[in-house]
Amino acid sequence: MPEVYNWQLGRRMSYPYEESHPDRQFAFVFNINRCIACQTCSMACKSTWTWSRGQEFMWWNNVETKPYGGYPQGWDSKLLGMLEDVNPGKQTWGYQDDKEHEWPYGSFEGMTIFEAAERRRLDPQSSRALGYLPSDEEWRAPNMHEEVAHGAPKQKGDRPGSVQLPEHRVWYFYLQRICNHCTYPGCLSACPRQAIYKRPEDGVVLIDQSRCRGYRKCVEACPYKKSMYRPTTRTSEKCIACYPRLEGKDGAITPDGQPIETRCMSACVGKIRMQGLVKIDKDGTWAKEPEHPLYYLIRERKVALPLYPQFGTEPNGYYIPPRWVPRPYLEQMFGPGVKDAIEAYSCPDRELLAVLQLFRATQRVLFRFEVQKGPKVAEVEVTMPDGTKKTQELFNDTALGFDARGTEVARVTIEEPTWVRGKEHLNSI
Amino acid sequence: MSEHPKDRPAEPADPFQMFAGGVEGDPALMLTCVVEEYSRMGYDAERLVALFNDPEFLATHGLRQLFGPEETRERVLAVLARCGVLRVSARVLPPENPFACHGS
Repeated sequence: MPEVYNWQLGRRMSYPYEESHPDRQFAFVFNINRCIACQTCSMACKSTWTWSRGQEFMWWNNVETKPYGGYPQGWDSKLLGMLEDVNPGKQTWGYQDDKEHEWPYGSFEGMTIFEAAERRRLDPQSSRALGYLPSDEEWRAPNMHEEVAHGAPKQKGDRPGSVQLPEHRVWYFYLQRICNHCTYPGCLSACPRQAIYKRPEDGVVLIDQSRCRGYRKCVEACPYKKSMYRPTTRTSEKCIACYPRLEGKDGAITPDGQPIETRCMSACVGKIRMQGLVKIDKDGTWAKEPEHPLYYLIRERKVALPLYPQFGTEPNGYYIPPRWVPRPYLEQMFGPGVKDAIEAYSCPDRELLAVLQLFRATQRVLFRFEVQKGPKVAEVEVTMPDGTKKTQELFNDTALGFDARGTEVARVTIEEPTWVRGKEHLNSI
Repeated sequence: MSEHPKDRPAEPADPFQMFAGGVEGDPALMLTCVVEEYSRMGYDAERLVALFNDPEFLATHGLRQLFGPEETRERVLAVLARCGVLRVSARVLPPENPFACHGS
């Protein structure tokens, strides 16, 4: 196999095709800390793209509960187990002390899904990426047994034969997932028909329905299981990043033809999502754009991290990890950058806090931000990951967001916070 | 009478059986962090308590079930007394409304 450079792993890796990169790349940041699983994103996507026959169990956008759930069930733990079987005890990261600009999380010393497939010497057609084909049952019940299994006593009206489920400890977090439109997609690598391609203008990964013959190699090879088979058409389908919106072709919303966010992003009531198109250099690394909000969050401040970077596909979806979750679990999921990311996010400085205000401030895709500084308005106490408290300074700063033409489209100003008077001070005036 | 299928022992690969393992975590830290996050989004005490009261939101409601309504409210108020409720003013430039008339 040819070798390509994967900056998330800090090294070169095997991939079935030579390097070729788009001019810009569709990417996004999800802030896990704020998601309460209202599933508005899931329904926005489903009611737009997957409401037809044969798509009943197809959720291009899903929100699952970790550590208990997954759609399809157990997708990540199964693949992690398979990788561990191929390379036992060696799926580890190297030292982070060697961090360089293009080596932000250290170096991954284990095997990616492509390298594990080489080691295993699988059947030629399916040997390009290690994976598995989920059963119909695993697709059929998203969110089953997740946070609802509280083990309540049997009540009148329960169905006959209902069982007492194990009770979860009440801590968990929600993981929002769409296709990561990976730089080195597993689905694309595995398609024997070469029906899957990455658009040169925005890096969106699409399946050419006229070429697809439904072999499901993409379903097997996608480590995130975001390529899905549709039995009525006998082809596979996947998230298309709402490309008509990305192209600014939805005249009802943007008559001026500017890119706007996908349905799932723009429907997010928790304001956890931000989407962008980042500039890519010829060598596949991100061009330096310190004023781009995604570049700032992902490359500059490193508060948003890729999901399972060790799979090796260089996913373009990034997550601000949840603050309350045990570190080893998060490190397995987001790599070794977790500690720094949570430290920075828990007590954000004035610039980071300002940029965070731009999440879902507008439906327009932002290409640049600016912070106008104002006076200090307050000091507040925030909880750090280890449970200790730290003082955060708040400033009357204004975050400005600009669209592709450089026009200001959003302006958010932080103001003096309001306070809830403590019980002991209720009658102190 | 033959054995009812529901009484048969579960098989390890049965996709309808929960198989994920538990991971140690701290619900109190989770509650504190969630309240801080939503206070940064401008949620005041009443809106936050409503979020915990609503059974549709299983994470926050689960915490309320764990700590009880009174203690949950007290914890929410304690966090807000410490970190306040962040306020922002936002201005979004048109055209933004999908239902707006764009004619002359």
